[in-house]
Amino acid sequence: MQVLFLALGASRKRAVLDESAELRASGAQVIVVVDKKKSWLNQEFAPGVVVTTLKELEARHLPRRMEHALLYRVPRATVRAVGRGPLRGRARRGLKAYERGLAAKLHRKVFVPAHRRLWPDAQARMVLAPFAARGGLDLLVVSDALSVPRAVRLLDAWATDGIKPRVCYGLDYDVPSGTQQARTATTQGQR
Amino acid sequence: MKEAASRDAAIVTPWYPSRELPFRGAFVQAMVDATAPGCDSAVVYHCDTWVSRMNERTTEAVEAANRKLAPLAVRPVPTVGGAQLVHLAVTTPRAQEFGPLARNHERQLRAALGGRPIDAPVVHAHVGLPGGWAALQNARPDARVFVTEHATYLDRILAEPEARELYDELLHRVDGFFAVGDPIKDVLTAEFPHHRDKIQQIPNPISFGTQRERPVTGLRRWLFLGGLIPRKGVAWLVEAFAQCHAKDPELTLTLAGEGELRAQLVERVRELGLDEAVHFAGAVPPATALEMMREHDLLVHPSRYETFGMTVVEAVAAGMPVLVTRCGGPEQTLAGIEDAAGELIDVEENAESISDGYQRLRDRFQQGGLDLPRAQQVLAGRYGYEAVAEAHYRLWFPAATEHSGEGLERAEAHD
Repeated sequence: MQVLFLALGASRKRAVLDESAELRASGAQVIVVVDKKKSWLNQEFAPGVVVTTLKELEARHLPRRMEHALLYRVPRATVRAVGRGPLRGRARRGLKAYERGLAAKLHRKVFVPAHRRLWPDAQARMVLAPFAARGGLDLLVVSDALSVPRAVRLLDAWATDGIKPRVCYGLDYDVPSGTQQARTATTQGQR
Repeated sequence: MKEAASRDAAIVTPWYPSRELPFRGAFVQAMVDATAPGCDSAVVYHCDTWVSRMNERTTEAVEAANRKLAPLAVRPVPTVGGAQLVHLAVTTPRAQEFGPLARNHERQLRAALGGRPIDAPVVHAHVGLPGGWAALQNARPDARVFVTEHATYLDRILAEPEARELYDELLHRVDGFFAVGDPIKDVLTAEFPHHRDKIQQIPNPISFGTQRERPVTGLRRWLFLGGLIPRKGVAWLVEAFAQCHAKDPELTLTLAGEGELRAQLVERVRELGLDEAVHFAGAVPPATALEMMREHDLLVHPSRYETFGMTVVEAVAAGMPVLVTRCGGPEQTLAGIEDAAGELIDVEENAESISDGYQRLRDRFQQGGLDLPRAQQVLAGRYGYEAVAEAHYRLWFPAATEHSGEGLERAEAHD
């Protein structure tokens, strides 16, 4: 099974850690998408659970990789080639100033808006991309309130391509396709 | 009185054990486990409050998105007692007041139901606000609505004018209202004397089905189960344990639960040099909690306030003596069997009351002064599944149960 957790609000961490670990232990491919990785710094995900951000996934889109090469990798390579000997310090300072003053602004104010206008479904596609090799996403787990709008946008975008994974608010509330619900659980004798 | 046409019931609750909060609503789950088997069908609507820091605009956008998501994400799954569980996320801004929170639950439950009323002739809600209000506003017109109140923070709810108004209306409109213990009943009858006759009492049910393999032979392995929060008296517990451990180094203490005091308690345990003797188990699910009760010798429950004290009754059910404060609920639940079940101590802001209580209890235990089998028998009659379920059935399905007069007296609703 291939499962995506949306945990952008980081407000239900215990559930996300517990459920992702359980899925991983059962052999599922699990990706947890968070807003800021630093919000999860003190949390330990189970081995094999991939934690990423929407920004990281979006940055894998080819136009964005080209932009990154143009804005960052080419200038860095140039500085490495040219900035030798006595020019080294000046070249590095110049590169830093360029990246902070120009490249970052161009990225934020020009490339990102243009990218989203030209490829409005890129984010939705890139979120799905890691699952493509093994047959696609099976289950989307929406894990907190702030993830709800993003989940709806992703589902809308995927629906246009006919992709409809199961959705749930937690692993315990998922009903696998074709599963009968007749099984009766009981905690008689439990708390 | 309106009469239910079938024995179908719906349960509406903001609390039910989940991965995020395994403890929360264990008593609701127990109530479902006790009552659902006697119904033709039972559906639990767990309106799970999902709190995030959101401004007004984001709150509205998130709720609007959730209206679209809920039809895709909400599906019934099996839960205890043969009931079905319908879990829905109620997106909620941080620090939402109780009145708006109740209306929020009402709206989001309605959205999850697709605008249709709850399809059951009997609706049993837990917690007046938000659960009772959401149930009342979404029940079908001919449904009979009952509410069980457990909240320890009723004073805070009733301090808010809008929430107090909703609560008054709730009490007016429901068909039956149950407090789980005297502390809640006392607060409500004082606040709403005009509803005095409607406020009855039915306790939480406790399972007496599983016994420990070996009886307790010494009170060495202490257990605390609950939130690591000031109201639970855990800071005094650690100090009292240190005093007792100084006299008997074989003592151990397991603290199962999470809360704002955890870091402070861990630090204090380190300062006291008790790292080896004190174990922080974190939050554990209900089944694990019961297992832990069967693996420890003594439940220490030094709470400052409890409306019922379910953990205390569960501990006795698990064959475990209890050292517990007279903090509202426990002195009522253990009435008449205090000495058979363990030791009750006053709520005092010191450690000595707990450590002295332990010494007294240990001395009595060694002299054979406890009678746990008798305590279990009495408590099963008061809080066992059958007794509590029967009390509910009498009110939910009066025609069907009017000739079955076998319910146990103490669990029956009474004024």
